[in-house]
Amino acid sequence: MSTSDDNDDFPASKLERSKIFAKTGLKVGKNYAQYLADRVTGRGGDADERREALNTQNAEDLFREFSRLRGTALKLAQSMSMDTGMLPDEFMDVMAEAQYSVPPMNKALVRKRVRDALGQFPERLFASFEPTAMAAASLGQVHRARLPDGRDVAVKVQYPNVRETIESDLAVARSLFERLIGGGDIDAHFEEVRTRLREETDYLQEADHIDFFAEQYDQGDIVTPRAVREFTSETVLTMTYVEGRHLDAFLDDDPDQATRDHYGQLLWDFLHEQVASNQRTLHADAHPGNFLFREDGRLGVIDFGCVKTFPQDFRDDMLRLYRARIDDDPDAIEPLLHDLGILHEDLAPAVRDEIRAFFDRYGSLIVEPYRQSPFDFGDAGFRERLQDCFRAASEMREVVGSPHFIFLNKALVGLLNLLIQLRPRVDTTRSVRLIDDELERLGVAPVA
Amino acid sequence: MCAEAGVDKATFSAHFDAPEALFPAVYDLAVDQYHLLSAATEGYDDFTVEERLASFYYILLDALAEHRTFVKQTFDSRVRYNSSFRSEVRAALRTILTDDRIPQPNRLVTGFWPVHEVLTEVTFALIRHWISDESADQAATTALIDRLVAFVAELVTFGGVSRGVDLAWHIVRNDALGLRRLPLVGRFLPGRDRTE
Repeated sequence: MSTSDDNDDFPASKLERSKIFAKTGLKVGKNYAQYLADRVTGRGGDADERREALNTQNAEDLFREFSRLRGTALKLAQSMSMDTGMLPDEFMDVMAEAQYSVPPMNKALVRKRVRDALGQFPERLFASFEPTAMAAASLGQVHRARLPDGRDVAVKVQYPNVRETIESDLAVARSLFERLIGGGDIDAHFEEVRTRLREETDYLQEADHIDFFAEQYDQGDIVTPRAVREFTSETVLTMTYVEGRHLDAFLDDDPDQATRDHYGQLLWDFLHEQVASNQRTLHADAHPGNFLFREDGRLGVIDFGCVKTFPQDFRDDMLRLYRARIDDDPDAIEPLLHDLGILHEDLAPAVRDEIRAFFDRYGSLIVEPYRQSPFDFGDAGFRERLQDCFRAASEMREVVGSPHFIFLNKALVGLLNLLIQLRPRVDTTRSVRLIDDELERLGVAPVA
Repeated sequence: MCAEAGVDKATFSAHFDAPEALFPAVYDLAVDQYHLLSAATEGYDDFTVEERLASFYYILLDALAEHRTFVKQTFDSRVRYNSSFRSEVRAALRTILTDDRIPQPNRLVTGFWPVHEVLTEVTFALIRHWISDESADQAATTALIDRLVAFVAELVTFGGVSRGVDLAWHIVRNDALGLRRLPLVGRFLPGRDRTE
């Protein structure tokens, strides 16, 4: 876990957090007022254009303010935006930046939280404990420390009362999102986010995730931390420290193409091993802050707060859809879009056509790397098509498909974002083979 | 009481005039614990005003938590008003509020006794909140303290006081508002500063 960027505009006072919610509401309100005024006076183009401008402005204001809040609201904004496609242009930058910043939890509070959770003040528990946080974390912050046995560790300390805060934050956020997003079952999507957030507040569960990923993937080229159970509780998590640099620091050194290819391959294969594995468990927080580029050539993976285990039928249908997309087989795609809840009979024909067209475009785009190996993620054309696709998604503003897509998309969009920045050439034959093996097990013909 | 504590009556009488005097003494111990623990806290000298205030509340409540049932039963009836505990809390808060980490002009306000009295009352309200707080480890009170100390620290270190005093002094010295022309008031104002 590398050191964090000091440039931080996280609301210093806790009071500011609630102020930001109010301010965001006011901004959205102001945007609506402007929209209504323009509608009355006839300024600002036709009705559709004005509405579109309003939505974009609202989305940007909402997102900018939420990204300052972190915690619940940031996670909600991340999750919902990826699923709904509510992606302002500066989305990637804002997200990447927010993840490095350090929120302030004062030293007295950190001591109190550690004592409440582990029974002793940090200086009594650890051989050393860095009072200043090194990074923001899932609903808390991370401190470096050393165990009495000499192991270097990262200690994640949770903000107090987070679980209760989640409920009230969700209620506020829901009303704001409702203004921006239409259609679909927004309740089911919020419930999915709420479930993940609740899980993220239980650091004992995260310790289980850490052990799972260490057992499954911490070998060869992937390095993950290990949970230190005797220094872990529901609200404080101690794990072994993983060295490495974040993507931006790695790129600052202008690595050569072979090095980019190497790490790109590791990132790509790591995701596909999870997707193809019948464990159906995915590290869903694929943002730049959670991957570490190490001197020894291995890839560090950290933060297992947001881990999604998919139901068997959803995961199997997704693999079938991948296969159908790679083969560009519309007859196989259509029923799968129904099975996965993307298309259904209640949709108006025009909306249905729009959604189908979008998913054909998006689906074809994300399977491009499987059709052409090695695939060059530095290809400007691919990046532009992807950005166009995100822009099209933001214009849809519909809640579409099964709620299980939220965290699959989060992982996938996160990976694509990383790869586009890294610009590697990735050999995708192994990932296709992994998918093929699973398809064979499901009794589906392998990828042509 | 003596039997429960395993001490003889003479020892008890050497320290307390009456059994009732024992109740506030338990609370006073919490303040003593705060003094001891804060002095022993690694890096306490580098703590900000916010962290010192937070530290005070957290240590105080942790000490009271060791006797939570007792506190629930006695706080309102025995120590809420006119107790040595109240004086001890006020004194501890005064020390924090008159610390030189707070800008000198602000200390003209934060050193004023009504400020200590108000904050003491707030502290007692916090204790009452903590008494009825049934969340795990009373985390709701912890979160409340976190916000409260951030707010108080923001107030007591507010730079506007220094700037305001500076502005007022500049106006007076330079008679920027022409106040020296006023009858009576003008006599008390210093002459215009020729050096500026």
